Amino acid sequence: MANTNIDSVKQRSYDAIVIGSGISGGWAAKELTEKGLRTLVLERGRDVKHIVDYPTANKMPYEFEHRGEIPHATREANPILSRAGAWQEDTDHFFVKDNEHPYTQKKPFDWIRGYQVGGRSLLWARQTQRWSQYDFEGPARDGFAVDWPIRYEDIAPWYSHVESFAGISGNQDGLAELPDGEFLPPNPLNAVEDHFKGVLSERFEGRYLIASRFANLTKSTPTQLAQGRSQCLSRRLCKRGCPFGGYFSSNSSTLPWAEKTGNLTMRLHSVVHSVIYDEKQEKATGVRVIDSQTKEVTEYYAKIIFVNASTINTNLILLNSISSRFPNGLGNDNELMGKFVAFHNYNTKVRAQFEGLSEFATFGDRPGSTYIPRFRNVFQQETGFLRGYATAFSARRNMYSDRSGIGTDLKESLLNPKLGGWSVGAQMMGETIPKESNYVSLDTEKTDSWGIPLLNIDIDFDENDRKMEIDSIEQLSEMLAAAGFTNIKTTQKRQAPGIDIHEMGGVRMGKDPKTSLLNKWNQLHACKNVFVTDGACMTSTSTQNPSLTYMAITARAANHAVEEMRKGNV
Amino acid sequence: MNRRQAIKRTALLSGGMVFLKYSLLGQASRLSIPDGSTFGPDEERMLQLVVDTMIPATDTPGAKELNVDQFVLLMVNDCHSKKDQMAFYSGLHSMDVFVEKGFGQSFASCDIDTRVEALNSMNKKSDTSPELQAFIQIAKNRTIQGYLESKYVMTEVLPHKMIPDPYDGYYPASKLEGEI
Repeated sequence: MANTNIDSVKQRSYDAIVIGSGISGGWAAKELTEKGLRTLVLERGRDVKHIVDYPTANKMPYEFEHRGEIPHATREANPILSRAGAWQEDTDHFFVKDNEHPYTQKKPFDWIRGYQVGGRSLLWARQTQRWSQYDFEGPARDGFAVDWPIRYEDIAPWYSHVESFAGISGNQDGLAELPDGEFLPPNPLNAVEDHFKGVLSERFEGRYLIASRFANLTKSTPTQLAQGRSQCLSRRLCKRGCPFGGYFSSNSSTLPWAEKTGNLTMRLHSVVHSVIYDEKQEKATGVRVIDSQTKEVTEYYAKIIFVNASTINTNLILLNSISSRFPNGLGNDNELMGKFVAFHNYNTKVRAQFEGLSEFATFGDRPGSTYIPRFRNVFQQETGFLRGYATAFSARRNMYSDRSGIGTDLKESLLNPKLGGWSVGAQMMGETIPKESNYVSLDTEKTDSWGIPLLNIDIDFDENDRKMEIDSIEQLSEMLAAAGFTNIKTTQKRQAPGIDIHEMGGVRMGKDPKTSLLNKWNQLHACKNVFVTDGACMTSTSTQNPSLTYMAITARAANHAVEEMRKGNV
Repeated sequence: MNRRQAIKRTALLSGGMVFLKYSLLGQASRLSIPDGSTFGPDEERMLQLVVDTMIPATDTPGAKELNVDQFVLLMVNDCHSKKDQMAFYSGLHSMDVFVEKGFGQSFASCDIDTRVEALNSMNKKSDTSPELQAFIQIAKNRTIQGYLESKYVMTEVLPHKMIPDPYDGYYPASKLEGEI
């Protein structure tokens, strides 16, 4: 450090530092600033201001030069990113290109990233189902990973806390395996979805079709209006950023809220190199930041540090935080850091058609669809594989036009679309088992543009996943057939992990410092003023989309951190 | 920045007008064929005729009036593989041979009904060359896309709603089935 005089150090000192401004970092910032902590949020990318920086939000389809398509040469240059369905001409500016932050794939892994304020919270699928007691008890019951140090009762009030603020739509379904919450009005179901729901409840014990819970405002309440957010208009253009704040993102909600407290400082273009550990004080004192534009290195100091850089980058930062006390990475005494990474399995899909209920169609649009909670091995082990899968389901009836002609016939047909038949689709969302052999590690030679070691990623599916895929095809096909759906077609993809964008673990929570990295409050066992509350903290993955759980875990940990600080414990 | 990117950028800045003028002047082609051939004014005229035949002007403008031929070229240029581009180029060049054989005259000399018939037979015939089939398929798909997603159609003919109506999952099908 060129400049270490006392004034300069003071200027670079805060009560708390949050690394990352995505869905969990935004929550850490909100909770900490609300509790009066002067908080520095470090974001490695550029600013994305709510509304102002959504350049495509109100564009008509014909205003995109390629009508939404990413040009061929750009796709060829980005083989990893090109597998992300959400990467299109209208969202291009929110995705990291393959060459911007390379990594080594020991096995194929599609790492999809959003390096900007708000991170991937701008782009997420917005599905927000709570975990249940059966999810938290999973590893202990089935003998994999380690036991979660928390149970549903610990997190339930924090689910309520984040649901109320973010605005989550849903129905009170009364299911033990998918607990109810603080919900705005649910998404409406259509005639065929209601039909399928009826068939399941009559003929398949323990299987339920419900309105999916999602983070779009089906109604605006005073809580969201106070954030400047209004009702979702079902435009289904969320990934461009919503000018109405119709869905939850850090940009529309937590960050502006934190800013209003006057306690927030944001530093952009700040790539975190490592967390600084002080051996005398036996705690972390700050973070070392590389400015991505000037390459200048600056240190920032704080009493507590929240690491919310997104699962894999959080692993990277901590593994790179080396000191003589922690030669393998901060808090990594047991050398388990980076290991036991897991994800979600989206490999199978079953589609069908339906000739019934032809008197009905759908009109207009809605922001969500429907969901079948996990029904395999929920209350006891009953199949030849561990855990199970939830299912996303939807029915639609599209307009179509015959395109076989040429000339006036074709034109006539295009301008007079006809109502098609009903079609349905069911997609598995499977839990995968964290294993030591699925890991990320630092490359010992290669470094990135900022001199930080490149990541090696070595993650793959296993036999349990394959068995579950086959079961999902059999069960979903049987359920669809029972509902009278015909022309059932199944697909079993072989896509690489990563593209599910639900990578989790590596810095897992647990009861025992010998087998886990974080305690039940998300503190590193060996360095209690460092908190990890993004996907890296996850001990197991369950089947539910993880963001809501990251938010609840973050809010819980942040409030605990403030209490501990006030008691002088951290 | 190469010449093509420079032109594209200027065109974007000026709302597309420069690009249109540029193309009409026939100075050069947007489509750079990987084997070194050029997609010049002759090829552009042929493509325009194909696009015009596929979706002609009636009481509303057709694809040609909406500059859909330029959209097709842009998409072939930017969004297709080199293999597609080669097939598109040579398929377009083999059209006249095919039309001469079946209809005794060049595509451009055919009247509108014969042009429709010729494209229909290219579209269907299994004995046409893979290049010709690739050309017809790409030209047709991109023509339909360029037409339906043109500003004119999306605002004047089949208005696109940025804000959809509230969802009704039990909407009477009869209201969408028209005369049926």
